[in-house]
Amino acid sequence: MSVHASGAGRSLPAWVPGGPPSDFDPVAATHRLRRDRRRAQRPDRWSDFYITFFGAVILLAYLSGVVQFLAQGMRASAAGSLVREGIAVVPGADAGSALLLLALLGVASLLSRMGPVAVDRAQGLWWFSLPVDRVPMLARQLRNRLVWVFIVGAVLWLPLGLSAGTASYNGFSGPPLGELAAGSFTLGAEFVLVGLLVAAGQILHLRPMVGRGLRVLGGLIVLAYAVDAILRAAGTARLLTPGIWAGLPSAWPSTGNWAIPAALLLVALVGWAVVRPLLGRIPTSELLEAGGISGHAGNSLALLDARSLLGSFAHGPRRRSHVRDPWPRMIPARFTGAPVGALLRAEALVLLRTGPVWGRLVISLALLAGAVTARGGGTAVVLCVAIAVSATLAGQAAGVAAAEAARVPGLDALLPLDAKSARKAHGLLPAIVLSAWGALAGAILGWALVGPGAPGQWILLIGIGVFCGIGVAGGSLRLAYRPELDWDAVLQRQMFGRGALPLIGHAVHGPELMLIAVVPWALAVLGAAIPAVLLVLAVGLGVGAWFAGTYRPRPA
Amino acid sequence: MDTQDAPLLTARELVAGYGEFEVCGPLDLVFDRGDALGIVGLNAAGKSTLLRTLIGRQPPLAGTASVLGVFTDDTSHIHRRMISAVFDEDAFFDSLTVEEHLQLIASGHEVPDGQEAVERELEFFELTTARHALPGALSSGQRRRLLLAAGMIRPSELLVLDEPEQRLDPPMRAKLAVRLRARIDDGGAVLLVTHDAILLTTVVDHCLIVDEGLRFATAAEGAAAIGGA
Repeated sequence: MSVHASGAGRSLPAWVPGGPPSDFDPVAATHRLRRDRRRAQRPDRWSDFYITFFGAVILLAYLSGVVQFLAQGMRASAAGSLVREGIAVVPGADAGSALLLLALLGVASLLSRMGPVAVDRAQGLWWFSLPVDRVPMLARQLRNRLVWVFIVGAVLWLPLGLSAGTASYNGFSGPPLGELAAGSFTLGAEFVLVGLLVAAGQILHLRPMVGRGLRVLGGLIVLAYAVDAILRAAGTARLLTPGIWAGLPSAWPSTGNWAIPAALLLVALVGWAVVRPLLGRIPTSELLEAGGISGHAGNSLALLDARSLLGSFAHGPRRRSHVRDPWPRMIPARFTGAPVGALLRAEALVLLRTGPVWGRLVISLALLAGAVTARGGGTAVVLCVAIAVSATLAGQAAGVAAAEAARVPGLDALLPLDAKSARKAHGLLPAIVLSAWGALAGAILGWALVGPGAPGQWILLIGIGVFCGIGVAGGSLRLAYRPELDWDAVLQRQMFGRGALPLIGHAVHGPELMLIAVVPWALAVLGAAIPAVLLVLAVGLGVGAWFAGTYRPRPA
Repeated sequence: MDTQDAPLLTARELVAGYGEFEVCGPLDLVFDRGDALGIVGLNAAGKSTLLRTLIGRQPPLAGTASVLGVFTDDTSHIHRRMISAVFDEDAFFDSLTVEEHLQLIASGHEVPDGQEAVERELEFFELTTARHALPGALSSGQRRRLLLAAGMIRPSELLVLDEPEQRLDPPMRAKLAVRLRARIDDGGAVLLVTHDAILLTTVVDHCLIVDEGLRFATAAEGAAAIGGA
């Protein structure tokens, strides 16, 4: 008697209930059993679809507007560049290609955390205990995910592709529809191929290595971009880096050539034919782990909870069960006798062990460096947007430990600290980390805007950065302790057409303080010279924002 | 080729754990039809980890564990036909009722007279009045009963139970113990992790005590270990 899966070819005892897998289709059976209830819920489902669809369209419209605004700003750079001569050396198309390549890696990383082949706990428990072939179940799930991934990729290209056009009072003149559609199909197909590659990694039991590999690759791309910028600034770019970015897959969508998506989709079909029959090899534990992350992410998205969404991706595959690192010895508990000291130590350990925090901090700095070295990135609009995005990214990352404390309020109650002091204590570590981040970011801006020729101005920008960082820490605390979205308020206001207000209020709770804190930077960037009074403003806004963010309102 | 003698479960130098952290082992074990073994130990001793590793739910850190000398993980449908395992996994389809969950398992395992089997389990686990209830409306104990019913409604060569007494009231624990003993007397194999001394001594004659190391003992010695004696 042959064996179906592992150990194929070995004989089994005669009493073993062998034979082929059962023909029973658990997915169909489950749907059949709950069909009546789903029918009753149909109006709700249509309503959800309606809201989701129009929400996505509105979001896309806003995104298109922002991208268009930035693109116009970059094109107007010749006259309005604020960075020094010889700094903005990387062509905008190359910078865009590098950014899109990082985005593709980000998609691969997200997909590897969510599977892409995954089952939720109920499916794992009730379907996987049945003697059925898993492959059709998993293939159906993977196929659905790949279709969605294709749609997301294709739609995401629309604002990027449209940014090549120009908007004016006379209307919009964009790329031909055929080119735009080809770009859309190309990015969609690239997303699908990324998904298939990650699924192949799951089959080969390489999921943890895929995550590490992607991080290394991301680091290499940032490094390659930095090397490219330095070589170009030194005038040797043509010798050493002849068009490396233009040939990468991230540059393919902008070619508008239909042969590329056709070839990619063909490769995807071949990839699907290879991957599909092997899906049964993925261990149940891995499917369940990925399903848990997918479920958490899906619920967070449904509740529009960005903090929880990021939290769901924070732990990659193979969550550590034990930790043996040098940090506890480097920050000995005996030196942190007081409650605030103990809290600081605990938060420092959390931060040191949360790899994505440092990754996001590095990305936020790389974003600033990338903007100033890209041609067209030195305009006021692009620099201000880069500062804002960089600050919110860093602020969110540095507040991870405080967010954990906010999620489990009982932890604070274990210490002899009143709630107000505990909140302030949670703001200390983000302030330390973000003031260092602000100094580095200020150094990057100073190098690009004033350079070694004006050391006083450079130091002033670093000083402003330190206090901006402290203010951003206040915003990160406010974000960490953001109250849950009041859906009742949303629904009540929805009747009067004002449902968006509480949603927006929830979304900006925290980031608004971060943006206020970086106003001195924006003013420094916009002005011809940097007056010392800006440092005073930075101190006022930074310290004020920190106190505002760490203020604990009286419970209602 | 006559492999009638292939044991149900074999472990050789098996070490269970997570990552690089060894929880327990090494263990050598040959487990066959009609065998019954309890596993006892304090919290975090590694009982459940050992159980999962033994039946291929998680890879061993060292050594081997196989079902029928062939299957080292649970991806094969034959493995799933052979072994019914109930761990503390509180997961349900939100929109399926108690009865529909059991129907799903009965149909999937091609249980003859599936509906009759569903009725029997509903009655045994005293879920008849809750048959149309959705999981969200069940008490914690009822959810546990439903999981046990799902594990017992289907045919299997080996029944694996991880602390089945959890969240069950004493009368149900006693009923379950009697049923498990009858199953063993009829030639069924049972692996049972428990903290309940009475359940242990009623169901099995031998057990594995997981403490500093692993040692085989009688059920009475296992019960004494549970009691801290």
